[in-house]
Amino acid sequence: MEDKMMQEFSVENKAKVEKFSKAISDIKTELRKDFVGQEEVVDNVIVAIIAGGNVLLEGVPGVGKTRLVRSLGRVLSMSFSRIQFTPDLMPSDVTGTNIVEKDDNGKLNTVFRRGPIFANLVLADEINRATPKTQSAMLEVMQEHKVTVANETYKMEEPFFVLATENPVEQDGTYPLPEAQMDRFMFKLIVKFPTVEELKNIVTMTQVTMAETAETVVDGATILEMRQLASEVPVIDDVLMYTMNLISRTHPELANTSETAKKYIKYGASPRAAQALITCAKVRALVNGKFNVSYEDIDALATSVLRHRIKINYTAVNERLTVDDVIEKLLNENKKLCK
Amino acid sequence: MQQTFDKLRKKFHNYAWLKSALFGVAFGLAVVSVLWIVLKRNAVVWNPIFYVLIGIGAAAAACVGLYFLLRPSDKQLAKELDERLGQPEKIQTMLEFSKESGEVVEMQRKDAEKVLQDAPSQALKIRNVWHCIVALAVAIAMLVTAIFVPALTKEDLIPPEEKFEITEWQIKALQQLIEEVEDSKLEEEPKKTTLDGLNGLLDDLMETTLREDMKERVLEVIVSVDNAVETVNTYKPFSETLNLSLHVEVQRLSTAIAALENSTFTRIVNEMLPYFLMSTDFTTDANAFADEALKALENCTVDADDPLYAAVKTLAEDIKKDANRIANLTETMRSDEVKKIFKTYSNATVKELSQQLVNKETRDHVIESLKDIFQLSKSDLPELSGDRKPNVQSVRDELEEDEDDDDSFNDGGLGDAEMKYASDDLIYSPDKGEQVQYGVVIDTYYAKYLEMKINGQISDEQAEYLDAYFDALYGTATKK
Repeated sequence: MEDKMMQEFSVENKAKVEKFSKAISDIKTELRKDFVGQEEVVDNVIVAIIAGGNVLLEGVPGVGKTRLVRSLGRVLSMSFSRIQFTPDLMPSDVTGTNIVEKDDNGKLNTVFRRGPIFANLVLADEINRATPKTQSAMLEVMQEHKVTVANETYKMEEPFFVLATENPVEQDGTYPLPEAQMDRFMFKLIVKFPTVEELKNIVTMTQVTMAETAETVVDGATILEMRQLASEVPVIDDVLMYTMNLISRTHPELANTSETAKKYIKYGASPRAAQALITCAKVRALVNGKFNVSYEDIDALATSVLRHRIKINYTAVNERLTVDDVIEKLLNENKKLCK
Repeated sequence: MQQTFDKLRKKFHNYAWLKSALFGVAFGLAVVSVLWIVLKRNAVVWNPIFYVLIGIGAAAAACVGLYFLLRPSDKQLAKELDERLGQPEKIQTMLEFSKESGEVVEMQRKDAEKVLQDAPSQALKIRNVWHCIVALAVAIAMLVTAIFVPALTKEDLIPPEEKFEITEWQIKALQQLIEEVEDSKLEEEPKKTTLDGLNGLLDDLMETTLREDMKERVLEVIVSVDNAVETVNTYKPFSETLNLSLHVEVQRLSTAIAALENSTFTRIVNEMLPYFLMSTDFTTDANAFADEALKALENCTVDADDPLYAAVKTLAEDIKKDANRIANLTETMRSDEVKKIFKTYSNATVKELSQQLVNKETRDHVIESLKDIFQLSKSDLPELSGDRKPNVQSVRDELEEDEDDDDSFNDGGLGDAEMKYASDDLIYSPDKGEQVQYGVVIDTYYAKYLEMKINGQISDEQAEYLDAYFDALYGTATKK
């Protein structure tokens, strides 16, 4: 009897995992219909969605940031909204506001009109163009998944996911996000300029049609199931310690800091980075068909997780090192010490 | 669920035993080899059973110790399996979460178990056995080396500078020395002692292998020769006793005897004559001298039958006996009588002093020869009685006319300085067979002269001439 139950349990589990794998595969397949290249960005965005985190996309105009998010919204069968941030955008424009309406009986009532934030998938375009006040309203929703207006709290429908974009080119008249706010993004992904081959494919595809043709393959409930499944992926203690040491060694003021941090880092990553790294590593492991987190998962995600959480100092700038270069040095040093 | 892992654990523990055993054997062989080489090179011989026991013990200890080092823990085994099977942290996760439950954990566990079950045997084979083989090969090479390393004997361990083996030249030199002593005029007792010592030394040194032993033996002979000669040479204690007298002429007499050399003795004795010949009260002065001399003899440690003692006693008694008679003689006759008495005394004393000089010179020659033959330095020798100069105050004054010597006479013993002569003239030495500085042979010639004089082979007139000649030579040949 027990064996039978075990067998049934195993069959059920296997089905869940197979469903997970199929969902991932389907998502990628559909996205490929509307979006060319940027494999790493797509993979990481999918990981972030399943992990329940938000993503900051940085790239020059025209590389497909908005298209990616729109396609994603279609594929995931989630309500999608796009907020174009401008300097005159008010917080209420994002969250919504109470308005006075006359009902059928002619009575005046206060009604909360929801803002564009109320969607499963929100594209916050050029978030650095909004004022800090509007940014903070946005970021509050991102963190808490709820909006409070006139002492009334309105919860976001799960899954709730924000993809924010930043234009690294036009910095005039922008309000760069402070580091404390940047910390709320699970990943910061760099959307690079496509390769020549990718560019050719983009042009070929858009010559046929500019419309997005990806179809819905997964819904929000499935995403939540996938999230739940991913959260159960085991992480051995050594990998956990490896991750914690990596985060800890980004802080130059600590005793066990790395040589790289001492030399090149002004501010290190917060504990949110450790949480993000482990959560995303679990999802990545499952996406890759593994049932456990490995060092390789941590190393693969470290750059995206730490890129926006570490502040490099003038020494690094002087030596022409980017934050990605510094993170690579940190990873190498951590591998030597911990593995 | 972990059955496969348990089987693999057993397998890898067996691998650890195998490697430990191989390393252990290698270690045991190495220990035995090193020990064997060390003992061989230190001329130590052990029963082979000890080597076997030590080897087995070392091998067993190393085997057990290494097993606990080489045996992987479960965590280490899981890590190794992950690495061998290319499964990042899969087996490690299975192990760490073996007691956990959950959908994904179960899946992970099953997946890991399947990987282990399907693992190719090639991937699970024992690795790095070549380490053990190399260690074993090195150990065997060490053992072979130990077998063929030549064993040293105790004699081989002696540093070359400490070894001794008497050479042909040394044997011949020693035999020649023995012949010289046999042919010498050394007195019978010391001669017998010297010859016995030298012959015994020759026999013993044939079997001596250590330099220290050789030195000890040679020094024994030197000391015995020195003691033998000092026993019969009474001139030192006798002159020292006479020197205690308050009478100047008795002191002068002690100085003459202490000088040992005939020419100096004769010269000093001649210097005593004015005391008697110029005396205004011969009887009193003569009796005073005689009484003091006899008084000094009473305190003497030398035997009464010693020739030097007897000669002085005869001198004193003759003077005392004839003092009155001589006092009444004319000046010329008085002088003749006094000279006659002193001549009698001189002849008797010179004879004895010559013998004692020969004793001393033969003793010196034996000691110097032994030093040369066996390359002993001055510092190797103990203090020898024969090197001590007589503690006679007046002697120092007298001898300083001949010697330009800064050394204290009270110290006695051999000086450190090199023998130098006033002239660098060379003459042929029949003993050495080569040209040497004449000062080296002067003593030999003088001794020869004295021997001939005593034996009556030289007339008085010739003796007087030769005395003056050697006085002149010794006066020129300044010994420093």
